[in-house]
Amino acid sequence: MNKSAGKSLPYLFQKATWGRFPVRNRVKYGACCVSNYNERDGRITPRELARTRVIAGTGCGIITNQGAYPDPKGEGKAYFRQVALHDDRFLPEFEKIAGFIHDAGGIAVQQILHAGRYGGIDLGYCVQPSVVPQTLPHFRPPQELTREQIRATISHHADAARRAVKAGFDGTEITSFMGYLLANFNSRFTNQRTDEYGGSLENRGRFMCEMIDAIKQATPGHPLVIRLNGAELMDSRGGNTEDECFELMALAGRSGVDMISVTVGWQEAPESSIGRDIPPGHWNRLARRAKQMLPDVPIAFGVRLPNPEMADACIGNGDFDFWEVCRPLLADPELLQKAAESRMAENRRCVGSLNCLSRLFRDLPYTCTMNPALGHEVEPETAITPAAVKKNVMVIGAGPAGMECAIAARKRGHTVTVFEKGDCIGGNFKSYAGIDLANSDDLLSVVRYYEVMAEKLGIAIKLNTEVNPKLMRSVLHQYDVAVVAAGARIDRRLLPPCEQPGLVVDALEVAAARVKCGHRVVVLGAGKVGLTVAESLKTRGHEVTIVESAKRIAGDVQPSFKWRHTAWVEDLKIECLTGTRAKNVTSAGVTVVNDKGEEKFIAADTVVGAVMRCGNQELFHELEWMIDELHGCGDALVPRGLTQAIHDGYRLGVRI
Amino acid sequence: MGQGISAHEILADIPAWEAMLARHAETFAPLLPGCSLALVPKADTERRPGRMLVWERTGGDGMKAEVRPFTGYKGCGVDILFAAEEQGLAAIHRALPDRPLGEMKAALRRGELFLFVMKSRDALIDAGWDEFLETLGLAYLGACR
Repeated sequence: MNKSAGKSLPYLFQKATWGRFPVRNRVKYGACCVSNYNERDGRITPRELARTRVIAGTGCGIITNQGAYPDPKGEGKAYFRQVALHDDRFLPEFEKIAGFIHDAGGIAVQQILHAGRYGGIDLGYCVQPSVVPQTLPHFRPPQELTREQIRATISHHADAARRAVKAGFDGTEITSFMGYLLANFNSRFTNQRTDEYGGSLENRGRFMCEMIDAIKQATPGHPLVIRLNGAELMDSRGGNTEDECFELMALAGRSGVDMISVTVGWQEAPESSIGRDIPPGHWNRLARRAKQMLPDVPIAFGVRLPNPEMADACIGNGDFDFWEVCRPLLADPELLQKAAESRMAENRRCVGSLNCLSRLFRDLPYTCTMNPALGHEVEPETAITPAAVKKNVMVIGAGPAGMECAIAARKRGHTVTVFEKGDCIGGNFKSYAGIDLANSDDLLSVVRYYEVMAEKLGIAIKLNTEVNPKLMRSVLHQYDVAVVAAGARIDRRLLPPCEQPGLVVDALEVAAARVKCGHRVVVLGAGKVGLTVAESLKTRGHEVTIVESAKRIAGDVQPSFKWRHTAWVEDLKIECLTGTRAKNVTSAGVTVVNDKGEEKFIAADTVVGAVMRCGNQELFHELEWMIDELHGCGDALVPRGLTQAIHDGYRLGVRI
Repeated sequence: MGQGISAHEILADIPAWEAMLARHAETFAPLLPGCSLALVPKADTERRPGRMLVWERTGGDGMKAEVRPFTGYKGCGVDILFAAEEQGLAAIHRALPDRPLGEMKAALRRGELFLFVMKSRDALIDAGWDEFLETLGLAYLGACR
């Protein structure tokens, strides 16, 4: 960072002190995601170390290392490859991580994560204050903790904290975020005990207070952070009210914690807390309330607050003291440098797709839609390195796959020209993003990033230019490499017979507003394209019916977002005929037939085809004998989605 | 309670429940014999003994319904438990001749019906609950939203 860096965000980059520790800015890297990069027994891997070295270099004043489970049985273990801290044998790797953070100038905090209700992944059961069954099928049946087990659990936490400090961490953190053990004791929903650990708010909070006390005694002089919900979002289940959450926060404050990180929601909460359907800044009021209630306790906050400018303003207003951020730094580890140097237009924004968490709950290592290198830092072949032979590269298609490839290839020193038959960067994705109900601006930020980077890096963009054999003949031998990133189109072979050609319009054309729909619309296909088009049309006053041959809708939608489309379809009252296929289309409408063979006619002014897509692959054959190297990436190969397009394009770009 | 029927009277309307189960035999066909689900009025989860309505797959082809005591989560002995607010239970009962599963789905979304799974996901899948959970949109419920 240069000397003037940070002047535009004076509060965020203000120095601070935290207890006896000077902190270089007001940013705390939050341990919000477990990476699942480690060994099954909790040992840290070289993959994890490579990732944490990148995290250490983000420039955050405080860096929290991902949650380690503290007990030898693994009752606290929630994730398939979560790190462990129940034995000294794990310490050498923790020492390395603390070293990375210190070398980069940060304060190192180790989170201790006992997942309680969501734990016991290897055991077939979980432990809780009371036996309250699970509401989500992928968690384990509960067992009630005895008093002795409660004492042992507190002791495990204190031992883990002592180990973290021994490994060189400056402080520790315990967490009730998302409904972990601490939250299970605090909440009326899961704590139905009748002994001194249950009943009144003070009794429910006793476990938390005893744990705070035990860790403080085990690690004198080392600060302790506690993550506590400002809102559980579990009220309908009988959980704590917001007022009770704040009473518990006050209790933690009185017990001597050194920082409170205000969080929102449980994993099983019936509403969103961090998805992109929640507007940035939505939960800021909770941090403000915490700060007003506990003016002397440092407050960290960052739930659905991905924007450093907003965070700077909040700190300036006194809403909280530290911006706690994780996913935006997964998406772009250079976020803070870019913010400090007023280069936010170059930021790869976290679009809240929850790819990271969707994978985590499938026991897979997390990856990031926006950052294809995440999790591959240990593999030199996925890094951007100077090309040994500088080439002249043509990329066909300015969608995400093509632009990612172009950017990576250009950064390596190649000369890159992107040919786009449309009139703007973004391809089909831009049209889709423009009608997305969740947060159009998040998705459109991806396109803006490509526009900025193309200009900054000197990538030539030729719009309104369709690549075909004729054009290729005119530029023969000018390019060494062609990359076909021409995207996909609706596979018209899958459409029903039509009375006359052109009765079924392409959903992508509708999304791009190149086709205007009549009032009554039938959408054939309930994948993400069909759903997004249908939802958008409905919000604009059209009468919409969806016809889907599968039994369920949203088959190609990311697991964490399927429910969102289901809810929208219901909320918008879109008629959805599943297990039903279109038999034929006339100018008056569509005849459909369901699994039982029952036919029905649906009157329609417009029929939109949103069936499976096929890649635009014709150029592969046409260009094969016209250029030295010919590659493909993204939907042109196999139509999928944004994540795969970005990752495909990047991987190809770093290899050419 | 809507239309003057108490929650316990609704549970006891066995002919109506069994007629509905027979109509939706396809949804429950994948279940192994002995697999069961219970509907318990929310108020009964807090009093002992409460009552619950159990839908159980019989050794034959069908499903049977019967009212049993609810003695707490630990001993309820079913695979899946729904705790229902009074209005949710009444709405499902009213919808029995029409779209009861659709009404259950709607009640879940309105927060008038709460799902508890009493077995692990793998055990539920092995027992054949997949189809039923999907019908109610429950398979879509993901963590960390």
